[in-house]
Amino acid sequence: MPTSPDEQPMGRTYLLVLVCHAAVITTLWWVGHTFSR
Amino acid sequence: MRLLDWLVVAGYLIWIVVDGLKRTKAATEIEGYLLANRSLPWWAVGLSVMATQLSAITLVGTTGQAYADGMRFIQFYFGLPIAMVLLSVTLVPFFYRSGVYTAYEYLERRFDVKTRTAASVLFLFGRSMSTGAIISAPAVILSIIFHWNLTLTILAIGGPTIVYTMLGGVQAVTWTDVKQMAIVVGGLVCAVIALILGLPSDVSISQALHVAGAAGRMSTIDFHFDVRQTYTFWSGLIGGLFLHLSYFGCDQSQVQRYLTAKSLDQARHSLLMSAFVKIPLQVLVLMVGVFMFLFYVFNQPPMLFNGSHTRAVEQSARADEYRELDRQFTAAYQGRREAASEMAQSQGAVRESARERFRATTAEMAAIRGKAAGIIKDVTKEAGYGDRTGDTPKPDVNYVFPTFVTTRLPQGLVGLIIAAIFAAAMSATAGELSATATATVMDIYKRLVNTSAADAHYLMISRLAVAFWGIVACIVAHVAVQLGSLIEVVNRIGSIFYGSLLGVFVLALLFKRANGHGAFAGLVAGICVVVAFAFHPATRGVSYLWHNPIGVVVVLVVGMTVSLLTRPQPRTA
Repeated sequence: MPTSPDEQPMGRTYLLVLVCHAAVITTLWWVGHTFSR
Repeated sequence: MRLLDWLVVAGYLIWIVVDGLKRTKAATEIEGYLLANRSLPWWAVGLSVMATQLSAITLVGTTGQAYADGMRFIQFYFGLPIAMVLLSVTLVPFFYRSGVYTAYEYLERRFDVKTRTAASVLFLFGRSMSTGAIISAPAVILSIIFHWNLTLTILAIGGPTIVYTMLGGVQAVTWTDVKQMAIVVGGLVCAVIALILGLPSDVSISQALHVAGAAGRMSTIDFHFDVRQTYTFWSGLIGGLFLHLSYFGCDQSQVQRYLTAKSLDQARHSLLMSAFVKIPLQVLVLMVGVFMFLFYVFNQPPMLFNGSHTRAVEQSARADEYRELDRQFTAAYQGRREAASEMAQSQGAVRESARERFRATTAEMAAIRGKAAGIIKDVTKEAGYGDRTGDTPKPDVNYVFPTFVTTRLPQGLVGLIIAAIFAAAMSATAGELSATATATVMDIYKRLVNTSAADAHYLMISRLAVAFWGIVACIVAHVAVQLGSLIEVVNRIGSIFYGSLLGVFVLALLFKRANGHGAFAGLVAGICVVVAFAFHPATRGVSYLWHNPIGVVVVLVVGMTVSLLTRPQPRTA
C-alpha cells in the first residue's frame, strides 16, 4: 500500500501495543490469583 | 442532593451546552458539520472515541456488575487492542484515503448501492435502539433520586444533547467529549478515593482486597472454554475481537470519529490510544464496583437497592414476610461483617475459618436476597427479578452505584458524580446522534432522495436528522429500562448486526472476486442466521459475543458462493 510523507511506519507501535496487552493480561491474572487465595 | 450538589450539576450542564454552542461557527458547511473539515488532533479524536463508548451505562451497569460479580467483566475487552491494530492496518487507511463521509459509502464504491443502503439501514436501526438504552441509564438514576417522572427525566438528558449536537455538529461533539471524559475520569477517581476512605481504619487496602477475593470479586481471568459464558478469556479474546473489529471498523459512530483526524497517522494514533487506555480505564470502573462491595461488607447494605420496589412490597399483602426476610438479612450481615473483620486481622487456621464463615454468610445473604427478589417479582410482576447477575437480582445491579452515591457520599462529591453520569450519557448520545444523522443524510437522503441540492440544504437536513434521531432515542429509552442489565442490552442489540456488517467489509477487502450480489446476499443470510441462532431454543444459551464470528463466517461463505455463481463486476474502488 502506498504511503504519503506524513505516514510513518507503525510496525514498532503495533508491536508495543501487543506486548503491553500481554503484560496487562498477565498482571490482571496475577492480581486475581494473589487476592483470591 | 443539597445546594452545593445542585450547583455542581447546573454548572456542568451550562458549561457543556455553552461550550458546545461555541462550535456552531465551525459548522457552516457540510464537511465542517459532519467531519470537522478533517482537522482534529489525534488525542482529541482518541478521547472522543472513548467517550462515545464510555456511556452512563458503563458507570451504572459496569460498577453494579463488579459489585455483584467481580472483575470477570474485564475479559470482555481482551480482543480490543488486537482489533485496534488490525483496523489500523486494514480498514482505517481505506476509509481515510477514499475520502468518504460514512463507512457504508465505501461499500457502494466496492460493491453497489443496495449493499451500502442495507448496511446503513442496519446501522441506523441498531444504533437508534442502543442510543435509547444509553439515555435510559441516567434517567433511571435521576428518577430514583428525585422521584421524577421517567419521561421528563429522559427528556432532561436528551434535550440539551440534541441542542448542542444539532447546532455544533461533530466539532461540538468532539470537544465536549474531551471535557466530559475529564469529568468522568475525575468522578471515578474521587469515588474510588471516597470508597477507600470508607474502609475501617484497621483494615488495609490489601486486606480488604483479600476479603473481596474470598467472595470471588477479584477473579479476573477464567480460562475455561464455554461458549455459554460471556466473561471468559476465550469469549473475550475471540468473540470480543470480532465484536470490537465490527464496532470500531463498521459502526459509523466510531468511524466518523477517526475520519475527523488531521491525517491518516493521526487517525491511527487515535485508535491506538484506545488500545493502550481502554482496559486500564475499565479496571478503574470495575474497581469502583469492587470497593463498593467492600464498603457494604463493613457498612450494612439494603437487602435490595431499588427502593421504589421495596416501598411497593411494604404496601402489599406480603409485607410481613418481606420484613422477616429483612431481619434475617441483617442478622446474616452482622455475621459476615464479624467474619470479614476477623479474616482481615488474622493469619493461618483462624483466617481460614473466618474466610469460610465469610463465604457462608455471603451465600446466606444472597439466598435471602433471592427470596426477597421473588417477593418483588410476585408483587411488581417485573420478570427480571427471576434472573441474577453474580449473587444479586439482575435488575437490582443498576441501582447499586446510584444508591451508594446518594446515600453515602459527602456534599459536593454527589454533584460531581451526578455530573459525571450526565457527562457520560451526553457524550455517548451526542456521538451516536451525529453518526446516525450523517448516515441518514449521506447514505439515504443525498444518495437516494435528493442528489443535487446545495450544501446549505444538506446542512439543514443534517440538523433535522439529529433532532429526529434524538427524539427516537428518547422514545426507545422507555423500553430499554425494562430489559434488565443495561450494559448487556446494548451489546446484545449490537451483536445481532455487527458480525454480518464486519463480514461484508472483510469480503470487500480480501476477496477481489466478490461482487455486489454476493455481498448483499451474504449480509441478509448473515443476519438471518444470527437472529435464528440468538433466539432458537437450542442455541439461545450461547453468549452473544459468539454471534459476531458466526455472522462473519456466514457472510463470507454465502457471499463468495453467490459471487462465484454470478457475473464478476468491474472494480471501481
